[in-house]
Amino acid sequence: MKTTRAALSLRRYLLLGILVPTAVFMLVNTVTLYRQALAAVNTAYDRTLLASAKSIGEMIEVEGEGTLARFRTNVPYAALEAFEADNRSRMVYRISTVQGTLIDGSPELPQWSGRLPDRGPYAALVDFYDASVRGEDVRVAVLLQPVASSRGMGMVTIQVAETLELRQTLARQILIDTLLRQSLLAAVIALIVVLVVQRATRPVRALSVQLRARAEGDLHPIDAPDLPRELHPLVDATNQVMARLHDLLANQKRFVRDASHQLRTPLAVLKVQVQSALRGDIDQTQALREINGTVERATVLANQMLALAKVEQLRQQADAPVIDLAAVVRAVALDLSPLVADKDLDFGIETLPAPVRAHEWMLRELVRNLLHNAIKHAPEHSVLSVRLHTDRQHLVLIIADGGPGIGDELRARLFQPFSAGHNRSGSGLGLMLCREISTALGGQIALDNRLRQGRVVGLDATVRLALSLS
Amino acid sequence: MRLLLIEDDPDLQTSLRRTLERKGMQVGVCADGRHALAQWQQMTPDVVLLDLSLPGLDGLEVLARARQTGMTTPVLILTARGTVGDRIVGLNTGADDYLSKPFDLDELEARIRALYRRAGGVADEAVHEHFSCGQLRLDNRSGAIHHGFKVLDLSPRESRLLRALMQRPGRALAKEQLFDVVFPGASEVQYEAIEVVVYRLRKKLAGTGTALLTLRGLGYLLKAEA
Repeated sequence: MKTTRAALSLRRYLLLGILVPTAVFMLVNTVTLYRQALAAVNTAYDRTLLASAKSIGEMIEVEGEGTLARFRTNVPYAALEAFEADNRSRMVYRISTVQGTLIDGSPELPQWSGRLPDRGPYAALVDFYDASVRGEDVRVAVLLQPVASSRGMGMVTIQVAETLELRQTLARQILIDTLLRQSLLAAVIALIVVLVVQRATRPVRALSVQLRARAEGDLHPIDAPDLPRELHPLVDATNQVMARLHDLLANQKRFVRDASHQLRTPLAVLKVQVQSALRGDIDQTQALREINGTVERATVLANQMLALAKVEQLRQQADAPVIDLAAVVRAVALDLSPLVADKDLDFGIETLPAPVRAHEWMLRELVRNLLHNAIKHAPEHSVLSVRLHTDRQHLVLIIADGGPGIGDELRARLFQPFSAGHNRSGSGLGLMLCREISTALGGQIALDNRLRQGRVVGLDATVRLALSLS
Repeated sequence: MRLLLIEDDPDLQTSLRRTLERKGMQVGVCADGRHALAQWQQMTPDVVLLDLSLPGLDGLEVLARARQTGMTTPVLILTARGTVGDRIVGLNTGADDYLSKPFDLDELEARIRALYRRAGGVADEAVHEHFSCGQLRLDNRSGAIHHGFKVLDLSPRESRLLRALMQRPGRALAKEQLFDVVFPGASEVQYEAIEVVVYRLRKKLAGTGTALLTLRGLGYLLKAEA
């Protein structure tokens, strides 16, 4: 099973997936809101500051004429009090000529020496800037005020400064408010997500509990009608797997039962044979010959069962080499040639090179079983032919005997071991082995009666496998 | 010939010992893997029969230790495991041959004698082997083939072909193998040439109680006629 990402629970996945982006979004939102509020506050206070500068400007007159002309101010001590928002903020002003000569007000406020920016909303000659007076940060509004009388006209610079405490207090207030509100929102969203996820995953957890509580070997289909619709395909697929496992297990059980029965049978036969020989019922030499036959059959049976287990074992090993089936077929034919000679069969073989990716043992076992069956069922002096043909992608191996073929009733149970029809000729394990091997190699096997004029004249065992092209 | 049988099944031990002693071999037995090596060194057998599933110490382990200590005695492994994997492991560990249970007694004896001969021992009574098929008898030492008391009159090629077939009675030989035997060192491979030799030989075999069968596309086989 994969860990790390795959192991993240659905609940955690949803929580993180929803809450993290939401939190980031809220943070950005908070910063933006705070900035906007701050800008709005600044604009409002700046306007007040400007209004105070303008009202001071109203109080400036020009006295005298020509070179004697000078500005005269009449700013009362409490002129600015009306503009102070509360007693935390303090205001100072300075009126000076454009050249910087102090006319009135506080000399501690440094002379403005900037250039006027192009400020659309303020038609007058106005600017705002930050400065410091007596070590305190202040916001300054500067106004260039033309002063005119009937006899002359001049320009004065009016600066009004205000300490920042009030603005800062207000900004902090806004920040705290915004943060509180956003945190509350985040908490509500988190709560909702947790509840929804909890609710949505409840059927899954219930199903897990149900599955975990199952008895070993309990492969009944999962019944969970209240599961979300998205999970139905998963449950269906699981049920299918369990159904297949159930069948497999049933087959396995039947096989073990039948196999033990089959293994016990020769032991029973042996016992009877030995006892009848001991009691003198039959000639001892004959008894021994019969016993030898029984042992021979039991050996075949045991070997076939081991072979079946081995197919399974080899199937797990992926590193099969490429082998020429033609060579295997010829070698097996040579091995079985004494049996061919015993029956004096009219034997013929035709092969083309046929490279297959497979363990050699599997191919030998497949060919040996099929050829052995064919020889066993072939009447004496009959024709037995082995043909190995290939097309571009496949090979076809046909072992054709001149035997009696197979009846319909046997055909249905052909690859099932130990079924009744097999008893006279063998256990049926050999054919099962052939089919297991063919399947393991990704091929097919078929046994078909060969007909001539509606009469069965023999059996064709056909194996199709994919060629290994390299 | 001295033989050490390392086998833990008492029934098999008794039967094998009885049979092999009757064949004139001295048989020592050992049923425990832990004592096997000591007995092996003490007895210095000519051939060792080794079962793989032993109590105390696994047969393969016994073999590996024996080879490590420099024992070169030929070893024939007997086992019921019988899988390809075991076979390869056995031969890699230093076994000389391998027989899976259940086995044929004649086969066992033949393998033991073959190992003994290969190791340089003088096969006591079986040195003068001969093969027979029908009324034919091949004298392995002289290479002559007798029909009754008469020596068959064969050409060298026919004689080589028949000898090869008689050494594997009842079993087919591939025509490729036979071609190399009949036409040694032939530069051009023409399998049809064999057919001519077979045709002539078949005629000469008439009345010898043997039949030379053709397995089309595969090879030839000599069998005794019933």
